[in-house]
Amino acid sequence: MGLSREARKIVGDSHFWVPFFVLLLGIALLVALS
Amino acid sequence: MGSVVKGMEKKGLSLHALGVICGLTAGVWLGAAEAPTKLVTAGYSPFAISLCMVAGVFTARWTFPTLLKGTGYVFTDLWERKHLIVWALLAGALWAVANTLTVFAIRDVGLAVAFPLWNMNSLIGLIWGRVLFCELKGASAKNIGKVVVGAVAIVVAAVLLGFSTLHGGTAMGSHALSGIIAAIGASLMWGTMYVPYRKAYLSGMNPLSFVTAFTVGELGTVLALTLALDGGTHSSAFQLLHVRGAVFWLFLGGFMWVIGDLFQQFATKYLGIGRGIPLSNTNQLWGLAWGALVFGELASADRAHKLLVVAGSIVMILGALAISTAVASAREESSTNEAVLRECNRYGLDYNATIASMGGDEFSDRSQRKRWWDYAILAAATGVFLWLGIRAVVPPLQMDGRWIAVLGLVLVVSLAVGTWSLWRRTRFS
Repeated sequence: MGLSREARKIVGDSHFWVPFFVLLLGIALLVALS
Repeated sequence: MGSVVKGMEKKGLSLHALGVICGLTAGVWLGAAEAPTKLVTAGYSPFAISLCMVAGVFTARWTFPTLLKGTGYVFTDLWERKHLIVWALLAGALWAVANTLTVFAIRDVGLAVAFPLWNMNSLIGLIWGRVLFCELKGASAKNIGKVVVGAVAIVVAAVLLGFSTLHGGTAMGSHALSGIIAAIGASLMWGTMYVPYRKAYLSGMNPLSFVTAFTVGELGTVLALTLALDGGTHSSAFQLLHVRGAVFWLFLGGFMWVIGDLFQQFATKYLGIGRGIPLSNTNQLWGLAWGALVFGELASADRAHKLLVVAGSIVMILGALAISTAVASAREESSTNEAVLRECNRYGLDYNATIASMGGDEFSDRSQRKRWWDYAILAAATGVFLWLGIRAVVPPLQMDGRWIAVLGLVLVVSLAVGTWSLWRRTRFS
């Protein structure tokens, strides 16, 4: 429906993956440091 | 700031000047937000301090949008661009992870080394601004030079000011390398956090709406990190919430931080991240001013350290001046419009309305009427602060009352100028 269409637009946006992967990197860093 | 204010015409304050005013005001308030947290000296874990501060941020975050626009406006704005809710949550999570990384950095290498490292976030933002949003594309070589040199100058100044607070007794921990990695990680997180900010404003969202969703991601992530990494439900954070007298200062720090961050959001909207972040990073100058003048943190500093303060302050002011005078040309603005067009095409937004919104104009006759629950939210938030305030205990720290008055006046004046400029030019849009 509307929300899944929005979700597809978001994951299809190359910009989205920049902060997403940076966030994953940050979480991995936190786990490694703690 | 005065020279910028002079440049105002009747309702004709340029968006660049408005962004500069917002960026500098953000610096003043973000720097001052550190002051109340200095009053909490008991041995609580950094997670506990961070969680209480973010709880204050959360309380204050909902107050301003409700007061200025009403929840009806905010939720309509969010619903019209639902995809940005995800971006706002992502930005809040990035903030929370970055903030926690700084805790590790401070623990391992000390604030003086860690602060300049994570302050490099402005350079990260500059790169993302150029790569993702065409910032500085089409700008003259002179303007590119001003922005890049200005941003680098502010980072150099941050290093100088950071080392001015480094005393002989400050030792590097045995985990210096992990501390440095944590600080660089925080810099990367914070520099990247501005990507969602800019994304939202290129889509015509009001910063007041964006922060309302942002703060949910922020509080949720800090809470999750505290539970996961600080002893779960046994974390000292939950004990601290019951400590009379201490929590108010952390809430107050969070409240001041929210004001600074709101202006930072408007600076990002009207200047872009390449120019906006370095300007709000002048907060280190104001943080140092509070530390040195009110709390006497440089009282025992020698001549070399004082020289670092003077040199760092001058370099930072020159850096801010360089960026403030780099007004975007028509060619650069047309590149920004291309970035707006990309967002409109991808997410089905109205291009003309979005461009109008980017210029600070309301793009609809959306209701700003306050409902009863708006007043209930305002009353609840005010009640929380009053309830904590009357229980607040001022710890026996030596503080200079005259400098509190002077720096307090700077806060009030900057807030008045920033608020008036935003109201006059954009009605907080």
